[in-house]
Amino acid sequence: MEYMTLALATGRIADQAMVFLEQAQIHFPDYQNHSRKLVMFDETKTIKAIFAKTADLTTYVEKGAADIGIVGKDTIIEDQPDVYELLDLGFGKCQLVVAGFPGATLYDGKPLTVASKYPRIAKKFFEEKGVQIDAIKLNGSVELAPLIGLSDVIVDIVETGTTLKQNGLVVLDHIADVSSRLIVNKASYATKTERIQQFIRQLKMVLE
Amino acid sequence: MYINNKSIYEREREQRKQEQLIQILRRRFKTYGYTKMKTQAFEEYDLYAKVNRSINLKKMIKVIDQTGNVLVLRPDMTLPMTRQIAQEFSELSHDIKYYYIEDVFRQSEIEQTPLGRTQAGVEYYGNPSEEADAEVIALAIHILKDLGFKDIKVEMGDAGFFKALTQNMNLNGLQFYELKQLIQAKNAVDIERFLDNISVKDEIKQIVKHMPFLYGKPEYVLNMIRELPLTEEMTHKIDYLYRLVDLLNMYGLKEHLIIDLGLINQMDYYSDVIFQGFVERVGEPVMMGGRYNQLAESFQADIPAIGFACFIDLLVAAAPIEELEDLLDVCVVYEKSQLEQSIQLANDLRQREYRVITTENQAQVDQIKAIFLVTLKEIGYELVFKGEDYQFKDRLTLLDFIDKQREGI
Repeated sequence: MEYMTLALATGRIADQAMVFLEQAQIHFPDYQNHSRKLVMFDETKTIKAIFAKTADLTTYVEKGAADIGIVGKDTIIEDQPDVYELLDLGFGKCQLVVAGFPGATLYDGKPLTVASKYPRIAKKFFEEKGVQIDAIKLNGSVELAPLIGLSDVIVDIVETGTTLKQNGLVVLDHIADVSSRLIVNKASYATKTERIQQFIRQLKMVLE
Repeated sequence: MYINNKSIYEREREQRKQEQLIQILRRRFKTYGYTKMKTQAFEEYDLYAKVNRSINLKKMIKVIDQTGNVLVLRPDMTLPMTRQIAQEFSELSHDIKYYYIEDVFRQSEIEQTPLGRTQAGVEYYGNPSEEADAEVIALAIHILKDLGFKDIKVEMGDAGFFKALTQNMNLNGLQFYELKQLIQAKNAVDIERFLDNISVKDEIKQIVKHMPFLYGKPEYVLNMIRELPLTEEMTHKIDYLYRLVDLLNMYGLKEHLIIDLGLINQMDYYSDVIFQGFVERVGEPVMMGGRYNQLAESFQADIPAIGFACFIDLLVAAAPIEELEDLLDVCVVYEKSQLEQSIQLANDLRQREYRVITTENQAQVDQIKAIFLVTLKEIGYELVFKGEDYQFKDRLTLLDFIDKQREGI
């Protein structure tokens, strides 16, 4: 049987995904051996896992370089890839929020400067609230932006809120709930329907 | 921007393959009774601004003519073709079958993508029957088979199904857009969450919830559909789709079919059956089409139609057609004083359909790959063929020899 390519975002989400796959009886021996390979096969040699940067993951799946991928809902909302989003895997839960100094006003019609890893989400969210924003794209340590006066507020994901708290910031509004999703290339779903559906059934058993 | 970074040799090879591929397509279109049609490259901006809004106006390339009219480089073929027919006829008493191979122009967000992409497609006007639908889909699959693809899947859905589903849901604009996206993504989890927040009849909710799963082999999907409380209109659509499946079975093509009731095309002129084709090693559809019975009404005509377009760039990149070797036949080497002789010889060879290059430059000879290498001598000709040397006194015996050897190749 032809193998399936599974793209995983490097870092924490990959670790959590691997735990999940283990529970679904899909084993990647190289990963358990803490290999730093970027490409590896599962025990049965029918699934090829590739490790990519989160920012590139939806591109890999949308263009068909990978058949399936596991990625956070935050990235999906930001990138709007033309893919199927077939499962909510439940792990990697966090919130997509607007944060800033306590008492900051958001919706009094004044334009805001917003720093975020998610400029498109920020734009759309504030647009719907009727607020014009100047979005600044940052790639990390977004909390820094309001502290040094680069932005009024930030749009970011929050898990426990500890980082915010330590920097004197609070959640000002909630945008969306985030969790890891299984995405599938549309052409792969057509040409490898049964193989992918079987994989999904395997993952679903863990969820039930 | 817009500069093709591929090497000239890569592009030459690509071009050769594209020509070969287009020849295969053209021949196949003709065997189904289609004749070639063109449209002009520029269209009025209003055609896309007013008549059909499915293509984002920002993505079109605009040009201003002498009188200040705004024109666009055509972003698709279906609209211009339909307008062309509708200008001529308000109704059709006979069928018209046209094929086209043309570039369409859209600006993508990604800078490096070329503005123009070649599409090859057909439009079948005047025949609203299910037999016509089946024949067009059969042609689409036939083409992918001609190109040597092994794993051909065509997803079939109905543009009217989503419309029928949502017409009684009282959704506002945002909700409609959100549900459309969720169904296109087959996102069952978020569809459930979406439904929790709106008040809709339970029967409709039940169908909406199932939309992500109504995908797969025709029988598999049909079993699921039977359990659902469909409205009369939906049942009618499903029955039609399955009559098409039966017809395509007569063509021997059933194994390639996938039913996808969640299929929604971004072009909103489609009225009934819609379909898209996938092949191995390509991550996006290589072909798309559907029936668009109301489009001609925009031009005050009543002409039912169905068509599809293949995306040539994708097919050229992925088609496993064998590349034909592209050798020159004859290279003629001469000296300045022998110019007239060389022209006569080249003329004779070209008359016999050989591909000929003539050169005065000895140094170039090594660069040219030709089957026959002819060097003009003071008297007669020297020929190198398959590493062997031959001498000829006159032109006719040389030509006869080349003819004879060529037959053997």
